[in-house]
Amino acid sequence: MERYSLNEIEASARKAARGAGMSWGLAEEAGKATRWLAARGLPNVCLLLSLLKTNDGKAYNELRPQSLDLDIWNTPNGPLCPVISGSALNDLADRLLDRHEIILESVISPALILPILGRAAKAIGKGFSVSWFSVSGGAVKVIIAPDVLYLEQGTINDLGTEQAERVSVSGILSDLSNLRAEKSGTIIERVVQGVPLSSEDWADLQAFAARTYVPATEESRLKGAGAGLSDND
Amino acid sequence: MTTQLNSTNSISLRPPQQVMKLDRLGSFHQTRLSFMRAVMRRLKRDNWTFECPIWRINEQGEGIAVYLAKGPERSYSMVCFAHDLDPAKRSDRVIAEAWDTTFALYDGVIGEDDIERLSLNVPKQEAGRCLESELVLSRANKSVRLFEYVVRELAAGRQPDQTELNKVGYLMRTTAVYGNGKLGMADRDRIANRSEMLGPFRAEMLAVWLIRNFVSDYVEQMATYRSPETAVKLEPEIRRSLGVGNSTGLGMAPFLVNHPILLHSWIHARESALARIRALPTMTAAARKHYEVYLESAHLSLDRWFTVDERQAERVTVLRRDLEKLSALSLDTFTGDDLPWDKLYRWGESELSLEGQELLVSLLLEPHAEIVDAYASVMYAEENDNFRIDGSQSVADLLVALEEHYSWALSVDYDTHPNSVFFWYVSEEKLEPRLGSRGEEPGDNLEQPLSIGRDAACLYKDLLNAQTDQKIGAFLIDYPEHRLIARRVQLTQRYPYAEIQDNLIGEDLLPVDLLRCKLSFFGATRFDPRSDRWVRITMFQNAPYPHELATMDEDNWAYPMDIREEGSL
Repeated sequence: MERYSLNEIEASARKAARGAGMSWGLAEEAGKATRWLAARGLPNVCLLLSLLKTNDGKAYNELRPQSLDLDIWNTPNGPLCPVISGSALNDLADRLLDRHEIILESVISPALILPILGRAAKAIGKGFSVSWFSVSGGAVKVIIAPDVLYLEQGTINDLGTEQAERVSVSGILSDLSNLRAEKSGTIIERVVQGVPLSSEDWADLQAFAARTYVPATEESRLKGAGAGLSDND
Repeated sequence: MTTQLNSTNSISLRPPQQVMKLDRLGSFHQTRLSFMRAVMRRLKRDNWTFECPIWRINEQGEGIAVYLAKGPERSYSMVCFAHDLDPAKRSDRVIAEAWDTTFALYDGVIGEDDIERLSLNVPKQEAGRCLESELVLSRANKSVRLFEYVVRELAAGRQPDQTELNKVGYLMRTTAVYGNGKLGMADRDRIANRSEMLGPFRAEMLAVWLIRNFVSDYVEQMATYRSPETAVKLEPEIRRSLGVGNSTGLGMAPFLVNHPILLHSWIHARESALARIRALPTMTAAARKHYEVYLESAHLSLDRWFTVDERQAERVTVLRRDLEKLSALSLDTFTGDDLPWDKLYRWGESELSLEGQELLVSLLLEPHAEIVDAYASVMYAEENDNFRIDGSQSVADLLVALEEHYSWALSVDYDTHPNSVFFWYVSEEKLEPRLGSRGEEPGDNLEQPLSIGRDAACLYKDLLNAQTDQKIGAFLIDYPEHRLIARRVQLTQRYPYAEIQDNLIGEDLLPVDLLRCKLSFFGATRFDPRSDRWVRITMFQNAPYPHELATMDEDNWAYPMDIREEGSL
């Protein structure tokens, strides 16, 4: 498998998300989230691809939580988008830390929520707990501390689940600075290295990204780059 | 993390609404803070040494050379491939598929296996792949007019004519210098914490400096092959007058917009240094002398600033007049007063063109290494750590932020064609940013998010219709299209120099201004716009070569050296 840099993954993921219809701001979130997972050796591009393929062509209103006021979020019909919901959870972090638990009824690629909350945890110095049952039945519970991710229940493979029911998210008010010493589960940390991807995944990602490109015309070949004077002197 | 704009005792930093205008940013010149100069100071300070362990160049000018840069903790290998290029294939544009020379900067001491791997990929540039052991990928083409002339002269045992060299300034020009994870190379994260890489584009600058070294060795080698009996080497002074050229186009233009915190950190460092110098209570005799010598060498540099671009040629003419005014000015007028440098700066604001004002900034920074140079190591940014939107901000507060930081954008009517005549897009053919004319060319439905002013105005309009006490988090779930610009507005509250305060899709846009700003921070000189969309520059002209670094002044080369002997700095 070819190895890719985190920058290549983020840039392609951002373009692919945009190509699949996300707003630029949400596409940025998707790109950063995919990079964050890849940098930790977790399932990454495959999660984004199952999301983009499932939601291709769907309108934003079919994918967003209908109401943020309730503590149970759902769409009119079908699963939530983790990038939209994750972004909303970040934006409403105060409420999670005010002892509210928010349940997301059904989510595609739920692990894409983790990076967005991971960034929030780092920024505000608090933690979050995220747990779910995957459609195939495995239980996952993740503690997101400001500086580390702790997989309390489930395996890294379970994070690659394509859909989960009843994803529960809550804030953690207690001090998490000793998490490393106290917990015996899987601590997930950042690794910096080339990220292996299958050629199929990379090609699929590029296919979504290519939807953001404008085909060249004779005119644009000359004008768009502003050539004109000889560059061979 | 709010940045204070009044960090000196008596002089405020110049406000963003003054500095962050494209015409001013497009008038910036190199300074002590420029990355080329910062990297050379670092290499000298840490006693880096340089070797050429591999030199396998044949009589056709093809082959491989490796330079090894050894520092106190780490080494880097510059791997150079020389090719026999069909002249018909020589193009500086990104559409090219072959080059005279190609390069990779390798992390560590390279072995034969990796040289073999690179030889299969580096010559192909974008069509090849690198690994995380590579930090920089680049390529360069000969200046046809100069390269052959220099080979001919050296082969005949003569030095090339300095006047001819000055007209071009380089033997080869790079047409891309890639780093930071491009094409499979190492992400910046891999090297960001190394002391020698602290600061932006350090690996890229090191690579370009070593490319310049290769090119001079290469031209001498070709002369020797042509006439082993008579050939001579370049005289050291003449050799030093050769820099590396560079052609840069629209591919670089969105960078400053896409790295708002980095842009802030560059501008903030420069403005902070300026404010501290303006706040100095006296003008020392040594600093005054240094300033005067540097002013003289700036004059000389203008004599070697050739451009075919009418606008830039006119600006150079005005700049020459500005420098004459500065030279005619008696500094005695200022030295007796409080804040003499501030008075000089303010005189410049009223008397000089934008080019002249910004060159004066460079001149003011120059004699004050003890104040300025420390800022070079804080000109980086963690964009990722500042990515989070604060959803708890109220609509009312975001409106206030827009009115405070984006008033330049809110008063523009973007429905009028001249104010939105351009759209930025990515071309399918080259995957590079391009600029299209709205209504005349297809693709504005695939517009890139660089229309910051228009986006801010749209956000403002929708915020005005929202409940003032609504949280931004709730607002954005209803308006996902505003998420990107809302994030920028929040950033700009903390990083006031993050945003270029001009319409990037309006008819007055000159993309070369974006290029000029970035390249000035690199330390480029002799800006030569070849259209409103691409520019040629020169890098490392007059700088010492690696073998000279230990014995020469590493930081006294940004403008021509001729004057320096009398000036005796």
